Amino acid sequence: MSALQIIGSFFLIVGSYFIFVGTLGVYRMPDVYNKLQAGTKATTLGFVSIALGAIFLEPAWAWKLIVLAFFVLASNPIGSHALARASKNTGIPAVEKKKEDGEK
Amino acid sequence: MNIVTWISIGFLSLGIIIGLITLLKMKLVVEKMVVLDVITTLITGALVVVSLIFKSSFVLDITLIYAILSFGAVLVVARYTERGM
Repeated sequence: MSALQIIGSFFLIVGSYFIFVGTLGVYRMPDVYNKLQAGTKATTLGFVSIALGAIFLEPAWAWKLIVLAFFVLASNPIGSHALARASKNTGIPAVEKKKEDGEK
Repeated sequence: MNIVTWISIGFLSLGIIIGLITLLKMKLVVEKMVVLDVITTLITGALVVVSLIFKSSFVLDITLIYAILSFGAVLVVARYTERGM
């Protein structure tokens, strides 16, 4: 394996792990807004990392992957902002903050 | 075709399974759309890895079309939930 393949494999595994952690956060979070927070940031970082790893593994496809990464980087916050505004304007309440043990 | 792409496919398919379970548990429309947005991002990443496995550059075009269509779907559902057609 050359150095490019090692760097590309590292970015590929890191990106897929971040997308998996984002999905787990969507499963665990209690609220719509927390779900949006967990589901958008981690998956955007993971997808950009996967595209970077694919650029290192196959350097001939760089322009298609750059276009794809910029599209996801632009469209994912717009979609999550529209969903958050819709859920706020239709009156879905946010969850109350609970006090931890030992906190006054 | 090496072990790295299969580890990556393993993480992504595990995420798709957890996302589908979450999609069945949700009640509100907006929550379901949030989970569906995450699942489409997962499938977009999985298609990039599939194009690495088969060494075919045409799958990336399919991936771009899929990302554009899912973005439109999320915007349409958010607008419809907010103020109707």
